[in-house]
Amino acid sequence: MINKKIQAILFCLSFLWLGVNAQSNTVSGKVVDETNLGLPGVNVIIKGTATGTATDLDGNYNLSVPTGQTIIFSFTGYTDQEITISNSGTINIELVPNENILDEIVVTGYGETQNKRLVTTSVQTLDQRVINDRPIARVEQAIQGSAPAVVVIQESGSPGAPQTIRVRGISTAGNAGPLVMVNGVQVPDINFVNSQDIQSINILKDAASSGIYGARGANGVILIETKKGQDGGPQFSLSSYYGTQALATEGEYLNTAEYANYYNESSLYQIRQGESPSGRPIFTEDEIAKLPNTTWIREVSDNASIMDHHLGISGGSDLISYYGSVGYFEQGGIIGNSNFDRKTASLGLNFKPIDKFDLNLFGTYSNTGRKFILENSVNSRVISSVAALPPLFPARDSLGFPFNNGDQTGVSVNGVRLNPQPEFGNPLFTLDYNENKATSDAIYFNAAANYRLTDRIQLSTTAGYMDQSTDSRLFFPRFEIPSANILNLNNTLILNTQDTKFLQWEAFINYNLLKNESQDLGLILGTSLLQNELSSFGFRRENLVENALGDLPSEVDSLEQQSFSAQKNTTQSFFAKANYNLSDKYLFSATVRADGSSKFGPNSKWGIFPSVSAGWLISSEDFLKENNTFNLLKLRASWGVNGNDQIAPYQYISRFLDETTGPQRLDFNEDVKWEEVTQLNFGIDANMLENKIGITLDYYIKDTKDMLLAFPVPGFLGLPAPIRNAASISNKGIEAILLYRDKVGSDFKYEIGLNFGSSTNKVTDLNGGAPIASANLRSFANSPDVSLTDLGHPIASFYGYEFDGVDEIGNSKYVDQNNDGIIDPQNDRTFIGNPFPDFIYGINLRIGYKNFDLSTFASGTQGNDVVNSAVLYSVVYGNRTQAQIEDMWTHENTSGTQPRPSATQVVNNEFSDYFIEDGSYLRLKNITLGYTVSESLRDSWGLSNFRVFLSANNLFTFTNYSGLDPEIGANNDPLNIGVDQGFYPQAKSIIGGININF
Amino acid sequence: MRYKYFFIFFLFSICACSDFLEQEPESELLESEVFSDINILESLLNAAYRPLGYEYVGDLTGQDTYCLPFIYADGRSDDILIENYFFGGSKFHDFETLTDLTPSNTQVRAVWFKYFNGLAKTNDLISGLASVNDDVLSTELKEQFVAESRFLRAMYYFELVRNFGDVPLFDGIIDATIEDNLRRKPTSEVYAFMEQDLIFAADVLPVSQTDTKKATKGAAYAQLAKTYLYQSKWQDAANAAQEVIDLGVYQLEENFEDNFKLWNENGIESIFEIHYDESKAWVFDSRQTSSLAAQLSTPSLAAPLGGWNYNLPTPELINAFMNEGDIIRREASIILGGDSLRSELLAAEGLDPLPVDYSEREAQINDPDGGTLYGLGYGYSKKFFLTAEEVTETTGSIQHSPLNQKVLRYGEVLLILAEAVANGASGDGQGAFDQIRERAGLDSKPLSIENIKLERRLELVNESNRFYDLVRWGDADAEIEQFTAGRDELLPIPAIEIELTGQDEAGADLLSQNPGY
Repeated sequence: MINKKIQAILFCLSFLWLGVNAQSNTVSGKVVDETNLGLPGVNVIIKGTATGTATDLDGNYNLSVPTGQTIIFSFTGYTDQEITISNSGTINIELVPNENILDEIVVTGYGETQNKRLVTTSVQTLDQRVINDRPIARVEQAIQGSAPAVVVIQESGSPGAPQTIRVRGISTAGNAGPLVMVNGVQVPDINFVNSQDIQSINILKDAASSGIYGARGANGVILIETKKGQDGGPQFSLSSYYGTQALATEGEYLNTAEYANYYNESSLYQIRQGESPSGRPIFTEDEIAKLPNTTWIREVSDNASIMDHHLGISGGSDLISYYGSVGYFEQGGIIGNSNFDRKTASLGLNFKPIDKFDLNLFGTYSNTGRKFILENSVNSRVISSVAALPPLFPARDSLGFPFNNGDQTGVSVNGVRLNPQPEFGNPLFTLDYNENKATSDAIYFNAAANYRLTDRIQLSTTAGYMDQSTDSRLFFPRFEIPSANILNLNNTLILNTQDTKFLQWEAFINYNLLKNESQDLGLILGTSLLQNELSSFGFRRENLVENALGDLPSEVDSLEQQSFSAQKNTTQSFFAKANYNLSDKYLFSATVRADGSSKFGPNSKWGIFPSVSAGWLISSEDFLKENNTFNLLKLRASWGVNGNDQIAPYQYISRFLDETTGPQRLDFNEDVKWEEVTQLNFGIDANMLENKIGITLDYYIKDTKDMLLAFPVPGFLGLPAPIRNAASISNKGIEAILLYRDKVGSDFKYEIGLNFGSSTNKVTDLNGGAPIASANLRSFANSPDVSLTDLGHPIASFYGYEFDGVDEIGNSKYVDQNNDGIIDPQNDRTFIGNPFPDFIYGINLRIGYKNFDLSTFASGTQGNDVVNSAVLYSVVYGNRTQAQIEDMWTHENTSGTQPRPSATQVVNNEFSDYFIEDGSYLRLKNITLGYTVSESLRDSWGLSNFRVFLSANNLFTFTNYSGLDPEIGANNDPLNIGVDQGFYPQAKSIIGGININF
Repeated sequence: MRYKYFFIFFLFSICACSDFLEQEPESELLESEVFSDINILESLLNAAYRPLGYEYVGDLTGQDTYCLPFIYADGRSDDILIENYFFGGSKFHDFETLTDLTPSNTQVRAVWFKYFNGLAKTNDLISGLASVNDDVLSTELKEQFVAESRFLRAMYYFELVRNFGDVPLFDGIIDATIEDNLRRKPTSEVYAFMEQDLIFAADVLPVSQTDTKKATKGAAYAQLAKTYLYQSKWQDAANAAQEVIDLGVYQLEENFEDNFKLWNENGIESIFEIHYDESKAWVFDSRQTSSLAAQLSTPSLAAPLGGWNYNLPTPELINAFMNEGDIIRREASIILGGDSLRSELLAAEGLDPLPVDYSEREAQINDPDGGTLYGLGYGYSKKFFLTAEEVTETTGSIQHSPLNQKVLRYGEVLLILAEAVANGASGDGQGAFDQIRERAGLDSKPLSIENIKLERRLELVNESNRFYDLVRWGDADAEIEQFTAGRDELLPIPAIEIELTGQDEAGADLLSQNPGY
């Protein structure tokens, strides 16, 4: 239905622009730098619009401009130039470098671009240089560490694992990810976009900048613009890299001699306490000598390759320009049978049949394949087994099968009897006999048409479509290992498919109401329709004839279907925005947006979300004009409200889940309504000392009220937790960007960038409800929920006992919080850790010397706590880390500060801050050295650019965290933060590559 | 003039407005759909039976939680040791030690969830059926649906009362906004409510149903008898038991062990059982439709019988059989060294018959040096046992046992009659008692309270009775070594439930805790 309506309106619009003629001028010329060399890639844009072009490799451009319009030439690191066009002709421009380093074009959405000087809100721009100057696997990696208060968490080091982005802390317990728009169309994630097809990324952080996105902007907005065709050509760009990845750290687990000693100490401890130890007797020296020393992480890991190839072509004329590309990315996994590949193809076409009208089309297709291992669960049996399994079992038996360390009928190695350990099996079983693969196809298409009705009025419409389907298969083959007493009669396939469709249509008007010497008033009015469909089904089959994942047909008979779910939700919006600029000194902006969501009931469908912002460009005032210290000084303030409807649909309707085991009543809440996030932001932008220094500071308060969450209800109601508007959260923080850029002589340029973000998070209201427990872990006694969301504390704070040293027989003591002489979970647990860092930071250093360029990028977190539960404390005979056996209490060392040895018992495993570690780290994420072949040589080869580079990722990490990787992944649950149950660690890699343009 | 173009966009958007934001569930069912479709109502009723067989409710509680009856019912008694050497000090084990059971034990919460979830399903049906039109469901069928629901509601309340004591009492869908609805009601009130449900069910339900999982008249009377028994209403118990006997459709199995055989599900002695199927889906939550009990109860024999032996009959129980010379029921209830496991597969491994020193050998493996001889002197549970052949012929995996579990059988009804008569009720108690003894190959004994107590123990091993019987008889403190009188009769009310239920105006918890916790 909606499809047809969109078609109809597009059809109508097509008549609109045919009937009108236009007065415009063709302007062309060449843009050169201070040394008179042509500057490629300079943005040439009509002011106040998204219309424009970029210079070709020699610096030439060609653009149609309506009379009276101003065009802006901008290029990172160079001062913008503005020229008002009165007639056709040649305009050559020389851009002056370094004068105003924060002067950039900022995309703020809905056809609007602004000079960064005049922006009154908190917006961060990442240009192509940041995105493409180092080898990255995914778009999100370009954002990580480049923008303060934007946290990018790789969900794991597994190739192709999703990444989580958090803008300015966590403001909701629901989906806390930002809104992502590609060319103005909402998409569920950005994995399908090849980073090399991206022109720019803009991150809208405060409520006033994201306000025009209304309900959807509460968690920040990421605007991605793809590359567009350039005049002339065709020009080709080829970039390619290849590298090798390796495990960064092996962890510090006990070796066989150390483990045997620890085991013996444990037995001896029990004997001296008059207890009978369970399990085999103590190990003799003889026995230890006979046992292997297996480092499990080495058994499951291997070096792996990584490569990326991208070929782009672009060109065009006045009438039509094009950009096309194909890309192939492949990353092997350093652990087990895991890898990822992505094939992408993109095509962008820009038509300009008449001066007043342009039509921009962009489409991309991506196909990804991902093999993965299960992780971050005690049942995953790879990373968790690596941490927990003692080193004294061999990895494989004499026949090459994985050694069965779990055989309860008895395990012995070289005549030494060992305690069987079925709870964490040999990880090689999982690697040999489990195959998991997910394939995904994504199609994205958008069309945008702009029509300049008059010099002051532009009508625009965009339509977008995205369809992403994923087929995920877990396969456990049938196998038999008679020597190991293993017979697995059934093979099992678990298949899940998911299909997401987004369909969006928008129309808006940019209207310049007033423009004279001192005033500029612009207006945007628009409307938007969005439809999102999601369907998934999952089933499980056993006893398939085929016994390998690769042999299975692509369509598997779904006889044993288990779950099916289909849902649809729609959003309708109207919005208006006004920008007012008085004398380029006083800047104002106001936005209001009305959003209606199908997820809410008749009385709460609509939400109204206003925002305002103001800026004062002090450096333009007369009293500072002559000043030499400040080249730019601007104060900004903004306030606004965003909404959030990121819950499953139909929550307001009384309904039943149609389970195969019978209908299950779902709780409903007729009153469920928009969650609201109110944000206040103050900022300063300053450029100083001939623009060598750039500073941006922001302070914000972000308050969430009526937060939507699954509200825990007593079990006797017999229903799953209903969604309610049940809590309030406050996030406060500061962000800073410091830049210093200078050059020594004419050959040596350098730039140091520092970004810093600090935020605090506090639950301010639970609407009378009980605190919300989350992150249930089997590792600890009684499987506690280790996180608690309670009034006055950060969301999902760690909650447990406070470790108070050891008692006179070496067992853990806990602080008796209520002094009643009994340690009990009702009264003596308390808040013992905060998973959020005090601050996060990123450091960038760029050096250019003649034809060499060097860039390094480091990022880190400080002060976040991590629960390290990769070691399974709830299981007897498990391995330990080096740190855990240092200064243990024993009968010989009664002054020991750590709990006594306990290999033969499960004791001292109540969840306490003993198991919480400092997760701070600083990681050298990347260092890249590039060499660009000199122009004379390039010319003789017929190339316009030729650069080779060598790059290293994750080379060093500074941390005290004892797990495999301090950059632990994120769980899908926003109330499960900072809990490490054994993530796939990130690899370090060395990569070489080339960039060629011709 | 040109301003008209502005409005084209908005007009379009407003036109779309009328129904664009109205979306109805696609894969979920609306309440109105559920109660207007006989097929959906039937599956809703089927779903109301399922919570009785829940063994894992992690999807409902969000926690890692098993709830197998042999753990929380038999584990607390003197019959069964719940232990596994690599799970020492675990939540399972807390039901064994009793002193370690706390209100924050996640498995106690699982038991709470299991039965309240079932209760909610039955109340949903009872409320919803009242408004179902006759053209959807005939008056007769509707009455039968209500009767089945009320039977199940009584079953759930029975489990709640004998495990937790006083509980909130709900008749129909719960209005949680009324504070008093959330308070615990005295056991006596709950029992009275259960009696009404069961009397109604006994009146309405047919003597037999084609779907063997469904409740019948006999099931309602048997459960009514048991409900009276727990309240020491002896004559009422005897009368209800006699009603079952008078139906004339049940009799004792000739061979006691046939009660627990896969090939004899819903046999002549069976009155009501929890049904499991051959589903191989391993969802590890309340949607699981096969049972985990076989795996947890079977010793670690050869593949495919790689069990976990959590469910260990104690030396005291073994002695009780030995002293009575009760071989037939011992062999059907407990596996000991020397027993035949009737398996060629195991015989090939040298495990059938089970080696006489099997228990010692297991203990030696776990500690050849004579530390804790784990499991030495204990037996292995037999009532959940499947032969290796049965496993390979059904699901192929001991993780997925299709074996139904007995909830009510004729043998227990006879013992209820006998116990009621021994306590002064009128009826042929001695005759009933003699039938049980005779089937077990034992001589007749006079009907005395002591003799009945022993008989129930030997007859009903691993059928979720012993612990509650001891509490009911006031013998728990004497018979269970680790028992603390005044506390361990009941499970603690889960701390999180007390917290979530909230407080009254005076700041007192609406849901009170059981004594001693």
